[in-house]
Amino acid sequence: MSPSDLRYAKTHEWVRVEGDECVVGLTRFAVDQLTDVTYIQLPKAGRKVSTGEGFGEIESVKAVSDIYAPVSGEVASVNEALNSDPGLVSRDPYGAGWLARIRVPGVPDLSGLMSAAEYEAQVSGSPH
Amino acid sequence: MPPNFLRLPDRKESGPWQMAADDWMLGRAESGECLLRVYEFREPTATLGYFQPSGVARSSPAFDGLPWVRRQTGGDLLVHDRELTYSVAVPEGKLDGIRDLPCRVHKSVAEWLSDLGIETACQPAKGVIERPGAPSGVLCFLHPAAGDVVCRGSKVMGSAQRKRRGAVLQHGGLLLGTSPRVPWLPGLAELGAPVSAITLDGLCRCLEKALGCEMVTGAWDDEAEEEIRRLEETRYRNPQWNESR
Repeated sequence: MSPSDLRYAKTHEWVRVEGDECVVGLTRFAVDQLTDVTYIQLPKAGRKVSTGEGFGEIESVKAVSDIYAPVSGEVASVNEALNSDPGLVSRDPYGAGWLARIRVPGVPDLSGLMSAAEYEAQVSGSPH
Repeated sequence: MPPNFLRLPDRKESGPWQMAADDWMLGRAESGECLLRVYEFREPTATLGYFQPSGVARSSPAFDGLPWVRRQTGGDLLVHDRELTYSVAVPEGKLDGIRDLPCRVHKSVAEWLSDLGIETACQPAKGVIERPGAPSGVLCFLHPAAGDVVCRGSKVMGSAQRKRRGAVLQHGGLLLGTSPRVPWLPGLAELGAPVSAITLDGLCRCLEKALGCEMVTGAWDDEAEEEIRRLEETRYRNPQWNESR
């Protein structure tokens, strides 16, 4: 089940607003599609990103996939623990496996993102 | 209903051209098209996995002078010499079970090889094959993943995917014979298989079966040629791409 307090991009990233930052991660559905994660490349702090822009990449045993910024802003920090333990993203995608914190000026625009129920509806219709 | 796939004509070209063609196919899949092709390289060529450091191309004296290029797909270094290669590009929404497509292709190839009297199996779990003298942690064919095709303890086929903007490129190779550039890897010929029966058309039929699709014969039109040439020059012959890691 996707946590109800998060917002979701159709490209399978989640967002949690914490003050002036948005915490971003990958959904359980996305990491299950990837199987064993071997490497994650994330942007450096300070990089400006726009909604929908590829801002990272993730490699599993069988696939390389882009990670897209679900909101616009400036990368405040990334989860350095993923460098030594990329499997965290699979084991705890909504907690310790978060990817990045994006600082958003003003009120973050989450209008293009889905609720948990809408996201569940999207993935239940996805080919697996 | 499964989609029709456009089968592009086989071409024996350089590594940069082949990688540019794969990239172009992925771009077409992002626009909703389903494409596949089988091919060989014009000369022995190494391709590096998307995240591999460029130093692996120089990790053995056996690679001296060997042309190399970085792939879009992940995984480890491949030497395309006595080998058949395939690429499939498809929008994620158009095919069920994309995550398992490598295994489906491998199973289909294993069945084909079995029909030819070549006993192979699909690797049950991730493993490592030790070969004295081989550069450590570099070669794809020494790292079988679950589902890869193995024959008498040697990996003979593997595949990897690249996902981009809702589309998937899957690329894989079937090792027909040992290359002097990678003497640690026996191909099907060294493992006793009648490789003259293993053809690009046969591999293509395996793809058709694995995809559950109908194939339509396509062509490289002028627009494709131009875009592939542009990608070849700007990316796959560009050190900024090849030496990027």
